[in-house]
Amino acid sequence: MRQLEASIPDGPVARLAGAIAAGALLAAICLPARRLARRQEARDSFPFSHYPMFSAPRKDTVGLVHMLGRREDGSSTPLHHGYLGPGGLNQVRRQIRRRVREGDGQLLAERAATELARRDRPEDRDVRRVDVVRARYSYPAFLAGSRTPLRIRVAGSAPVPGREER
Amino acid sequence: MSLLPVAGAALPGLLRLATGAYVLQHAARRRRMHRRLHRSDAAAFAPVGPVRVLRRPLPPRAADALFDASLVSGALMTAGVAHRVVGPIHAALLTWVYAYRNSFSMVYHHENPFVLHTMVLGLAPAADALSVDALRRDGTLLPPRRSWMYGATPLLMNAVSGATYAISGAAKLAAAGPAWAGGEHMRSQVAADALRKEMLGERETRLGRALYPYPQVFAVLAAGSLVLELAAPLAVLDHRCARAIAVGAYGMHVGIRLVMGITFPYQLSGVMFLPMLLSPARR
Repeated sequence: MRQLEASIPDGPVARLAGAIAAGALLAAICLPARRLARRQEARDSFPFSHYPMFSAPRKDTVGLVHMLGRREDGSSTPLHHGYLGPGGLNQVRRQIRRRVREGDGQLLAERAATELARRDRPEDRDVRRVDVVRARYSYPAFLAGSRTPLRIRVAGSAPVPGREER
Repeated sequence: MSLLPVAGAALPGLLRLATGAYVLQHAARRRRMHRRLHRSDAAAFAPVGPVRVLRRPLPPRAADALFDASLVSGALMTAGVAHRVVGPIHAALLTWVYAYRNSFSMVYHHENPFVLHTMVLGLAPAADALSVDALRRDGTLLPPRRSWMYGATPLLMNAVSGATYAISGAAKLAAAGPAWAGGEHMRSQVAADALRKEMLGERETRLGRALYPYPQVFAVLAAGSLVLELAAPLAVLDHRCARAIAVGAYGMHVGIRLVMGITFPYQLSGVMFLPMLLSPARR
């Protein structure tokens, strides 16, 4: 059987075009690495990123904005980030941190309470109120089993519609 | 020895089929999430990459239409229909759709490699075999075509993967210097991740918590992953290097999944490493 070439005809023009396209792609991938030299945290991009994951320096404590579902007996439980929006844990975590910083904590609590009532998930049926909190936790204490934050501030609080507190 | 190994048309054809099918199922399974994201709060919109041409999010129906168009172009590219036209269009659509998806306050790095691999496959002659184009042009799925272009396709995909890993390694060195290899960064990252998961309503991994008291384990894991990331560009040198890097990187992602509970789906599917595993030898 006769051997054929690629569907793109080979020749100097094809070779030059291929080299330019490959070079441009690799340059676009490598150029964001320039951001690593900056002292301040540089904003990441896509699809040409500087891949800062797992590189940020960490302390023994961490600040976190999250939700607590308050039950009638006074106990509380962390609520799933999905009540505050789509996109996955880390996307929602960053969004709510920004929104709370901008003063929208109460709005987020009301929205999450409405969503919680609408979804009516069995594991959250005893939740009467949603608090959006800014809390600071100690890693060593957390990994030793303590869920008690070092400090906590309620940024917004809303009753779950249809589950009025008595 | 030739710089660009000559290979048969089936090699990029297989990579097109595997990558295209992976991306198609990845996107289709997340269609609902994308549609919800298109309707989420405009305050969270922080455009990245090509999406920076926008000041505010697209109308949700327009974003939905672009997403659905990428599914259609993805199906056509996977089947190898009019590849010379469909390939670049699909690469551009996919880049836009995933840049848009990552424009809501967080960039998910597990999505970069399949977008970059699709760019390579979309522009390369990757549908000269195992495609509708091959059936139409040559009357067979496996025409007797050989070219340096077919060997260059996995080589460029490997260069892309190697560069992204090397930048990840460089980011760690830039943040903490060689001390990153000591493992303390990774250990505190595991703790941070476990805490975030639990307080944001997801399940944390037991293995991460169980290993936390043993800093020496994290030192081994951190040093190993840093060396692997910085060495990843060696995958373009030789097909044996490429295979070794593929096995090591796959193991690293399995480790990240087990210890941190973070899933890199494209990497863990193994499809990302096919160009390394199938790299032809230079003669």
